[in-house]
Amino acid sequence: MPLIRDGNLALDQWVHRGDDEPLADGPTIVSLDRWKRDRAALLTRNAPLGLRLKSDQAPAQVAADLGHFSVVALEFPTFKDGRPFSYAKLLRDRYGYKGEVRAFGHILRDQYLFLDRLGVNSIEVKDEKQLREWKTALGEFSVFYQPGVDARRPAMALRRQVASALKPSRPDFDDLTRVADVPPPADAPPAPSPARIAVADAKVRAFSHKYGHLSAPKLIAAMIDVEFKGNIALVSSFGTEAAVLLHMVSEIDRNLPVLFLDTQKLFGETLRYRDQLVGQLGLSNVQTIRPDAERVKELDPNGMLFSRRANLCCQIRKVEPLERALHPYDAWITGRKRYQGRRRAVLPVIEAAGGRVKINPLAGWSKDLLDEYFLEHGLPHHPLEAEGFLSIGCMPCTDRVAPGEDMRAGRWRGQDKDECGIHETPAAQSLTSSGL
Amino acid sequence: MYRYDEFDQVVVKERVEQFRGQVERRLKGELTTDEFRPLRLMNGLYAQLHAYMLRVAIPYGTLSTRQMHMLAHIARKYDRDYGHFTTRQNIQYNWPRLVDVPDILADLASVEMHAIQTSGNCIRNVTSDQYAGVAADEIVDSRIYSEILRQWSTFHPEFSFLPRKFKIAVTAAADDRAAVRFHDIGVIVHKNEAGEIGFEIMAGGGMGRTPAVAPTLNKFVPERDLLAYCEAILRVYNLLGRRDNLFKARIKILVMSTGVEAFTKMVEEEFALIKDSALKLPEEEIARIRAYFAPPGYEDLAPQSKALDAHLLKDKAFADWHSVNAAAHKQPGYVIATASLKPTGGVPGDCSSDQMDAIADLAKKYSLGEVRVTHEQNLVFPYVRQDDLYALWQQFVRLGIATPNLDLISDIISCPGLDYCGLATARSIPVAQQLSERFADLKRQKDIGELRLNISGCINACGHHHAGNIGILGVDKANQEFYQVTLGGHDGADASIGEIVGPSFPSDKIIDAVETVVDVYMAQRQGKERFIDTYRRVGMKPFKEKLYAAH
Amino acid sequence: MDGTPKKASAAEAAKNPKASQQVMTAYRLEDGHVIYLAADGSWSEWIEQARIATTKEEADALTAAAKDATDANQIFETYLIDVTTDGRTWPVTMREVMRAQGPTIHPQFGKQAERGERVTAVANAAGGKRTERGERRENREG
Repeated sequence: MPLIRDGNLALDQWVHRGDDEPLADGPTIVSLDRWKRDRAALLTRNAPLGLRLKSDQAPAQVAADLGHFSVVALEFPTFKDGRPFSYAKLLRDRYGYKGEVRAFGHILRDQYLFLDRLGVNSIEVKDEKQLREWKTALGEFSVFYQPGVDARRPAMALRRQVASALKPSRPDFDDLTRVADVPPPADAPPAPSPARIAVADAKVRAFSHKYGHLSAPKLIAAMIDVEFKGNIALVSSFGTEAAVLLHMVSEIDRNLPVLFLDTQKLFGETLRYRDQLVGQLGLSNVQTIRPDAERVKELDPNGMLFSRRANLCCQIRKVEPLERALHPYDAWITGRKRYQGRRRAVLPVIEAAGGRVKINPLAGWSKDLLDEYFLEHGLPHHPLEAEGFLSIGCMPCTDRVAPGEDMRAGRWRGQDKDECGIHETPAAQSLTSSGL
Repeated sequence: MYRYDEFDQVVVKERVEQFRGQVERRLKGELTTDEFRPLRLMNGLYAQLHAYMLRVAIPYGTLSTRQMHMLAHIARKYDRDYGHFTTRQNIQYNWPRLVDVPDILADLASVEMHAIQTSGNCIRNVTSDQYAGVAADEIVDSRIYSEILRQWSTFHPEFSFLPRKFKIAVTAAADDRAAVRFHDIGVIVHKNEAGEIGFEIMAGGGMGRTPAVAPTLNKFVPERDLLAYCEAILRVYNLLGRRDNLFKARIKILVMSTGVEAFTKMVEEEFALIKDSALKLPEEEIARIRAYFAPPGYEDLAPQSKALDAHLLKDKAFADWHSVNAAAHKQPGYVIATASLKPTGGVPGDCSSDQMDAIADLAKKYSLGEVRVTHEQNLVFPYVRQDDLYALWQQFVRLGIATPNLDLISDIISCPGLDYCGLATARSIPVAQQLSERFADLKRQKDIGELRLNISGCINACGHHHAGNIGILGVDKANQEFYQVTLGGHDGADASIGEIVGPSFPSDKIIDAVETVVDVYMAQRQGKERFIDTYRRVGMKPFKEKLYAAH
Repeated sequence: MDGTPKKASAAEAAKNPKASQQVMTAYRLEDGHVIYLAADGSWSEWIEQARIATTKEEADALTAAAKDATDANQIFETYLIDVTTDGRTWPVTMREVMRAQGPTIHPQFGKQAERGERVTAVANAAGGKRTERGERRENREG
């Protein structure tokens, strides 16, 4: 019968022998009854010995003898008989059995992953034609809730790992600089020339005098209609406060490009909220920007990068796609505000970044002002706000904010990280910046 | 309420794809009928009397507005515009096509729902108190532990091919609304003198042909050991539960045949060996789950709403409903409201797509976007401001879910019976319909008072007849429907199993027989005594005499 | 519905040839609907079209045809049921009447709705033998 080990066809050196059949010269598997009957004789053989257990023969009764066996074979008289699952677990966990545990009999490939998790190494299958099916079965799940005896860590442990890896004291903490050890994608836009950076800086200085006194809607109008006509985009997270800026823009130019970063790790609520706002405000040029599929496949094949290197995850899912999307524009508008705290506390209204002008029309707005605006214009709230999420990013790295905490406390909680990087690196440097 | 993180979402999504593959293999003939059966069952897909039936889990009964809308959408798109809420906080669709089921599961996954382990010989949907989090009499929100158990039991590698199905219920309230003593494992949350959380753990309760009230194995298992203790019970059961006889395969039979003391000893020994393993619950994980069940942003309200008082005085119908279907809330100014899925002459637990959508909208407006499903097959609005109760009730009336019969005689628990079920020996829903019509007079119902009437269409007892104050069991006698009556069942903290009163009644006599039982109770009761208390005081005799003298 | 297909009635029928009128029933794999092996060899949703076996040989032929269709992955859970033919082909047991008709509580669903008429179900079924699988049926998918 073909043998599968770790999902692959393997050479089976073992033979099964019945209770009254002559023993083979090589490695032989015998029943528990035969072991009990012929123990002395079996021990004098000069070949490896294996033990076969029926589904009503618990390994407890041979626990002391397990050292004599290189294989313990567990029989499934029918796939519905679940006792051998416990036997495998006990063999490994309780009796410390280190030899091969194999399963044979009526087993469905849909049970293979469970068996693998419990320390079964090999399975005798009926038909090697379905080998691919068995191999597929091993990969059908990638997250598990229970501790097994295999190397896969259960969800509870992964969650703890994520939580503790995010603590700044950990030496393996993935800081911003470590992004640099991963080369940029081949099609990354070129870095801005010094000339372009200088031009942007100059414009910022000029605009600060020219437009610094304007209210947010007027500033936006000036930028869209006068200074950067056709050359400016709004970048929106469609988060808890985004509706304000989007509403202002919709009253000026519904066709302004609105870039929305779908990191593919967002809350479903955010996507629905986006659709709701787009419909309500009549925005006609919302562009959803997604990470490069190849890049994700290469650096985050199982989607768990966030748990190991949050910054690299932001890099490939936000920073790089946005760099690419902003490439055609000379200026962009963001919704950041000073009251959001931390690095944003000193945010200028107009600044230069990566050779572009960056407008933050709401920099000076307070939470009260925003609330008033929502109310006055009948804007819907992000559905997660009521659940305590005051600042919303990707699902894995966003937590609730407790009363009294600052509003971005739930972002990368516990980590020495409070920005994803799109406003920080790498091309975001400028020679100067200007506030009001 | 709980929301899936990255890990939970991955599990459910991968499950959808796995099942899609299994359906394809079945259609291509790579899986036989016998091989496919346990796979589809573990995903809640039955072959019932007329068609497939899909059972969707509503873990511990909690539904968000979005989830309720999705349940409506599924009924509308893939089924026949209705669903049936069951006695185990599930919903059943009675007419899905096999080829559509993977898409249904994908739709469910998009709202963090699934049909995982709603059938099969595995650990089923964990149920809980429908008032969890809002009940005035609870120690803590029992859903914290229900969710921890839900995760642990989902695709458990060792316990997915048990001797028989396995049901777990959790409560943290003085009044046991989850019937935990009728479960394979019942968990009651306690707090000790030091203020620490722990669990009273019972095992071996159940309905079926051998009903049993679960004995307590351990009065106080520390909070961190919940999973290790349950795993110990499951391992003993998986190893020793009978596999030779389907009818003797449940854990209750193992507990009975081993004896509670010996069974407890085995569990405790196993527990001692594993309690310091990876199963020990870290405080961070408990705290993480607890955070999801933190109280919502309540408004600061006066304990008693003046508006509510005014409406109660003005509108008699509302006052009648309020006195029966509204329950005390732990937060001042709020109230728990139950929508009845037991209209007079209706099918207990049925709900149309339009009703579901309307209920979801009402929950969004009046109950912080949350609804609970009860094991009595009703729907609870857990966070209603007293000020809003009148408006909500008016909407209930419009939707036909305002029958003021919570815990009264017409609040009947009924299994689907022979109208749908491949196992049933007689119909149960038509009996429920006739009884609710016979007792339609609300004044009479209220006068009769708290009375649990449960109907099962076969000995499997999905209609919980053993736990009914009056229980009815449908049987097939020479191809005719007969109904056996049991009295004295009860599923509260002082749970008891009903006793058979005598020979069964033909279908044209069963309604009268129930009325006779009620008449005897009314004649015998002292003061405001409940049916169950009268029965426990006077015993079976007066009921039996009257029932069989009359026939 | 799953589990060992019913064999009892065929055996009983052999003992009592007069009572032996049987048809083959099953479920269609794709949508799970109740079907019957028809006279022309196809599978019909209508019991009225079912081929009736009156001898053991005929019953065996139905069983063989059912096995073929099972092996071809078109149907599942095949078994013979007893029928009467007073006026129309109709099942004997309550359970089979329910399958042939639809849920009595929902006349708008099931075959009764498509048939456009409702055969009084359970009352007509009275008097049949206890040929149901009874206890064996318990717990299979409960």
